[in-house]
Amino acid sequence: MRTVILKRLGGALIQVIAITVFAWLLFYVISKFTGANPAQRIAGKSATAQEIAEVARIYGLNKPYWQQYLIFMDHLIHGNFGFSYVQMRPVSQILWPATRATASLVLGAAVIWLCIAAPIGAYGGMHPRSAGDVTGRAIAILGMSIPVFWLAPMISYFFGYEPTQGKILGLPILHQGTTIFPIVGYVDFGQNPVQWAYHLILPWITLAIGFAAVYIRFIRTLTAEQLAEDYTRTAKAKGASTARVLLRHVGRNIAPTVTVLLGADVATALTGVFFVETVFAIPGLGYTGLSAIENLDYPVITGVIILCALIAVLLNTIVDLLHAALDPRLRRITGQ
Amino acid sequence: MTSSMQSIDLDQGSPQGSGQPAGLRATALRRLRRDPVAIFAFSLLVLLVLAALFGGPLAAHLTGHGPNQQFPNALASDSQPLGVMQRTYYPNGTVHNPHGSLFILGADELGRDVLVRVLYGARISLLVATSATAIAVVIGITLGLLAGYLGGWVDAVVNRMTETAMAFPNLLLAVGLAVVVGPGLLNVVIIIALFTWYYPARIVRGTTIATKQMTYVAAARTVGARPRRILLVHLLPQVWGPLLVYATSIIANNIIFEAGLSYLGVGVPPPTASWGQMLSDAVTSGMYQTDITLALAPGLALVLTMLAFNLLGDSLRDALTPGGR
Amino acid sequence: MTALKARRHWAKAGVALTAAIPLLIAACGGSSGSSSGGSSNSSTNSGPPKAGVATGTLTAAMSSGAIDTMDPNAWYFAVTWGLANGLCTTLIRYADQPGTAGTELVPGIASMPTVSSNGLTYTYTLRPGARFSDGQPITPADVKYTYERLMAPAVDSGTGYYFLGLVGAPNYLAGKSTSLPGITTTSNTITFHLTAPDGAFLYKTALPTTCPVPTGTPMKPITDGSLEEKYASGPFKLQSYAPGRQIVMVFNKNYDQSLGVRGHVAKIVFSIGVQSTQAQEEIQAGQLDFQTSNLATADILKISHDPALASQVHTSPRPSITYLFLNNEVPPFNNVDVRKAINYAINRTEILQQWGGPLAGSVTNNIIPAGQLDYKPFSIYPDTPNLAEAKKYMAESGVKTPINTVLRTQNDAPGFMNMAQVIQANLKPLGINVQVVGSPNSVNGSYIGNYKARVPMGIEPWSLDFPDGEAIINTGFDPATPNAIPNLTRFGDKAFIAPFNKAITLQGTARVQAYQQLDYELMAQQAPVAPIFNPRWYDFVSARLGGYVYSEAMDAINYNTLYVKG
Repeated sequence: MRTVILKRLGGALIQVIAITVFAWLLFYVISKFTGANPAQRIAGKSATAQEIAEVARIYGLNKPYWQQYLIFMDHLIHGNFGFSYVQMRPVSQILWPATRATASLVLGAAVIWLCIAAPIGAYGGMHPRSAGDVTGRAIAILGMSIPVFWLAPMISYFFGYEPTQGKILGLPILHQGTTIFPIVGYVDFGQNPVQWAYHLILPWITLAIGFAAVYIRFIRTLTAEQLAEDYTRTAKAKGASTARVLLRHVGRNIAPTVTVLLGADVATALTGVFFVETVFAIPGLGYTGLSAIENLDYPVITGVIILCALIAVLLNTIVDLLHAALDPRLRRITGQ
Repeated sequence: MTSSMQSIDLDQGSPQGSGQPAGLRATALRRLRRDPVAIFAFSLLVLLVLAALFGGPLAAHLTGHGPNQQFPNALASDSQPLGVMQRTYYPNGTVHNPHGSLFILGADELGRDVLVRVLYGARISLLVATSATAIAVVIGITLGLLAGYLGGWVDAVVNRMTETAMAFPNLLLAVGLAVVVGPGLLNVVIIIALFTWYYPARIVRGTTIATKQMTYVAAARTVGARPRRILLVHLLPQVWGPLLVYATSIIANNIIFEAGLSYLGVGVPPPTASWGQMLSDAVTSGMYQTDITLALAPGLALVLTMLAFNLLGDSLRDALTPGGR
Repeated sequence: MTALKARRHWAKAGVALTAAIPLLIAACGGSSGSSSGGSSNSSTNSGPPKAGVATGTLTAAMSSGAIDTMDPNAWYFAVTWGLANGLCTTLIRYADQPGTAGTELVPGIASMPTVSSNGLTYTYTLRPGARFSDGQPITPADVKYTYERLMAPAVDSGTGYYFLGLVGAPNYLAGKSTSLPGITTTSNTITFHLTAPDGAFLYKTALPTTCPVPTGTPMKPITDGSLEEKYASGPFKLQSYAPGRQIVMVFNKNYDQSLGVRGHVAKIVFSIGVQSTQAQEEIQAGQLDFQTSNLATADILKISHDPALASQVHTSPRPSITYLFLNNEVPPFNNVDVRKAINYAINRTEILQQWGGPLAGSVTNNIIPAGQLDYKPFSIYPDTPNLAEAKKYMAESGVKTPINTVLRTQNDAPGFMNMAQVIQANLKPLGINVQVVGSPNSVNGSYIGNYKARVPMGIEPWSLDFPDGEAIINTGFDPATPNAIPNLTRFGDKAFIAPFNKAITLQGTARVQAYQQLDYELMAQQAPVAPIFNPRWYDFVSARLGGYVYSEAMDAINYNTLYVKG
C-alpha cells in the first residue's frame, strides 16, 4: 500500500513540476517573442529601451531562465502567484475569491447532478429495458447533446428574465415584475448564505444538466454490472430486499468508481463552467481567466491555468488514492 | 466536452475490441442492422453529411441567397431582421421582385439567410471536427502504440504526459493560444487537435497493452519478427475497433469544441458560417430576445448533430460488446 | 493600461448602454430642467432635493473592461472620466447641462482665468471652499503638484502632451528635468505660462486628469482608489473599490456646495462584470438603476418598440466619431485614389444599421463630430455606395486588383465585427478582399497603435478629449508625427503641417473657421480615413432615476445631477 501511495504522490509531483514549467514557459518566455514581454508591460508603453532594461534588472527578468524559473517556483510555494500589472494587486488576491465562487458553482452543481443521476441511473440498472429505463436513457442522451453555451442563455432568458416580464415560456400568465430567480449576480457565502444559494440556483441547474445526463448512464451501467454479479444474487437469494442490496452492496461497490469520475469531472468541469459564469455574471476562475486573456494580463492567466491544473492533479491524486484504499481488488490492477 | 470523454477511461477495463475474434465484427454488423436506434442515428448522420455536402448549395440555389450575402432590405429601418417565412420585395435594393425573396428561417442581423447559413455551417462543423480528429488520432496512435508496446519508462513518460495535459483547463488555454496565434481555419483545426490527442492515445495504449499479452504476439516475437512488423501487422489492426467506437465521441466532442471556440470569438473567422459563431452573434448581441430563431436554429442543429453521434456511438459500443447489452 | 494613450475610446462600446437618466436637472445656478432629445418626458413629481441634501442609493452595472486605472491623474477611459466628474473638481469645469450647453466652461475650484493680451499667460484664482474630502483646503501648491504629477513620465498619463506648450514642458515630459517653470503660484493664484498661444488651453485645464491631489503624492501610479477615498474634491468620494468587482461612491460632505450645487444621491454602487444585455434585463425588471455601457442593437430594438418604456429612455449626442482608418503608408492605401474609392464604396447607412440604426447615430462625412462648435457639415461622399464612382477612382489609381488586405477591430463588442463584415462585403466589388481579424480590445489596441505593425485598416471609435477640433484633428492626424500612437492612419502629408500648427494658436471665430476648413480639406484632398457615423447615446434607466444629464464633454453620464425619485 505504501508503495502505491508513494508512487502516486511521486507521479503527482512530476505533474506539478511539468505544469508549472509549461505555464511559465508559455507566458514568460514565449511572450517575449510575441512582442509583449513582461518587462515592457511593467515599464509602460512609453518606456524607453533603457527604462525597460532597468525594470528587467529590478524584477530579475534578465537572469538566466532556469534561475527565473526557480524564483518563480519559490514564490509559488509560498503562495505568491505573482503580481498583476493590470489590476495592480497580487494575483493570489484575485484568484482566491474567484476560486470560492467557482467552487460554489461546481460543488453545488455536483451535489445536484448526483442526486438526480443516482436514483434514475440505479432504477435503470435494476429494471433494464423497462419504460422507466428507456425514458431515463432518452433523457440522458438528450441532456448530453445540449451544449452548455446554448443552455445557459436559454435558461437565463426563460427562467430569469421572462418572468420579470410576466411571461413563462412566452405565455403571459404572471404579474409583470415577478422575480422567480435573479437574472445575474453572485453573493458571497460569507455575506449571506441564503442569497448565495438563491443566486446560484439557475447556474447550478444549467451546469448540472449535462453532467447528470452522463452520470445517469454511468450509474446505470455500473448498477447493472453489479446486479449481474454473483454476490447480489446470493444476497437476494438469502432474502435481502432490493433496496438493501442496492444500498449496502451495490452502492458501496460502485462508489469508488463514481468517486474517481467525480474527481476527474470536477477538475474538468472548469471548461463548461466559464460559459455559465459569463452568462450569470459569476466572478469565478473561468470568468477571471477569460478577462485576463482579453486584457493580456499574463500573470493572472498563468495563475489561473496553474491553479486549475493543480486542482485537477490534486483531485485526481486524492481520488486515486481513495479508490485504492476503498477497493482492495483494484489496488493490484491499477498498479503502475 | 467532459464526462463523455472520461467514460473512455472507465471502459478501459472491459475488453472491448482487444483481440476480438473476427466473428464479433460480423455479429456487430448484424446487431447494428437490427437496432432501430442505430439505424435512426446513422440516418441522421447521413442526412447531416448530405446537408453539409449538398444542402447548402441547394438551399442557396432555391432561395437565391448566398451564405454570406447580405441583404440590407431584410432588415427593417430599426434593424429588426425578417422573421420565419417572411419575404422582402426588394432583395437587390431597388429592383422590385413581385414574388418576393423568401427567407425560410428568417434573416440574421446582417441580412443573411439563416437557413442557408445553418446548412453551410454543417460543412464547417464536420470539416473542422473530422480533420482535427484525424490529426489527433494520428498523434494518438503514434504515442499510444509506442507507449503500449515499449512499456517501461517510455510508457510511464507518455502516461504522465497525457495525464498532465488532460489536467490543463483546455478551453482557457485554447482561447489564449488562439488570441496569440490569430484566427484562421487551419489554426482552429490545429488547436483543437492539440487538445484532443490524449483520448485516442489512451485508448490505443490500453488496447496495445492488452493485445501485447496475446499469445500470437508472443509467438511472433519468438519467431523473430521485427518490432515494426509486430506494430503494424498485429497491433495496429486491433486498435481500429475501439478507436472507431470512440471516434464518434471524439468527433462529437470536437464539434462542440469548435462551436465553443467560435462562440468565444476565436474560432472560424467571419463571414464563414459556423454554428458556434451564429449562436454567439445571436446571444451576445441579445438579438435572440427579439427573434428566438436566431438562437434556436444553430442550437438545434448542434443538438441534433450531437444526438446522432452519441446515439451511434452507443449503438456501436453495444454492438461490439461480446454477449450483447 | 490604455492601448492608445492620446485619445479616448470605448472599452466595450456597442454592447450595452446604461439606462439613461430620464430627466435633466440643471445643477449649477438652478435653471429649469429641460429634456434631452429623444422620448423622455420631463416629470417634476418630486423635483431635485435641496442643495447639499443627498439621499437614496442607486445601483449600476459596468462592463469588466470599463475601468483602465483609478489613478486620478492617469485615467483615460470614458467610464472613468464619468467617475472623475463626480469625484473631482478641476480648476474650471463643464456646466452640468445637457447637450452643447454642457460643453461650456464654468468655475470649478478656481474662477474663470484672466488671460494676458498676448495669450501666453493664464491666471486662475482659487475660490474659497476648495477642499479635499478629508477637510484640508486645496492650495495653489497642490494644483501645481497635480500638473507636475500628471505630466510625470513615471505616471504615464495619456494627456501629458496636451501641456507641451507650457514653458519647460518638453524637457519635463522627456524626463530631462524635474521642474516645471511654466506654472507659478502665489498664495491664492496659479499662473500658466505658455510658449505660444493655445486656443484650447481653457479646455485642457478642465481635463479629468487634472484632478487635484495633495502635494507629495508619490510620483508613480496609484491605482487602488486610495486617492479618491481620502482626497476627493467633487460632490462624491470613493468609499470602496474592489477591482473587477465593485465600486462604491458616496456623497462627499466636505464638498462646498458654494462651488456649485451638485450631488443629490447618498450612494452609488457599481457592479463590475455584468454583460450589457443582462444589465438591461435587470433594469427592465426594476433590479438595477442604470449601466455605463452601450446598448446592443437588439436591445435598442426591443426597448424602442415598447411604448411603456418610453419614459425611461434618453438619447443624447456624443462627441464621438466611428470611422474606418486606412493606413496611408501601406499599399494600396498609400494611394489617395484608392482611399477615395473606398469612401465611395462603403455603405454608411448599413454600417450604422449594425450599430443600432438611426436611433443609435447618424452618418457623417466629417472628421469633427456633429454638435461641436467647429463642425460644419459637408457632403463629398454618399451615405450609400456609389459603385460607379468608386470603380472610376480605382481605375484612376492604377492599382492592380485583386488586393488582399486585413481589417482589424475589437471583437468583444458584437457591433464591430458586424460592421467589419459589411465593409468586407462593400469592398469586394472593387476587387479588394478583406480578411477580418477580431481580437479583444486591449490586444487590438496594441496592434493598431503600433506603427511597426503596419495594420492596413480598422474600425475605431474616437471620443474627443475636449470639445474642440484640436482634440481630433491635431491629436489624431498630426502630419509631423505619423508614427504617434493615436495617428492610426499614419497621415504624414507635409503640406498640412503648417495649417495644423497654425490652427492650435488661434482663438474665437478664427479658430472655429480654421478647423472647419481643415476638416473639409482633409476629406476632400487626402481622404486619410472614411468617416462613418457619429454615435448617439441611447440610454435606458430605471423609473426611479431622476436628474438624467449626459455629459458631452466627458462622454459619460453626469452623476452630479442624479437623484432618486419618489
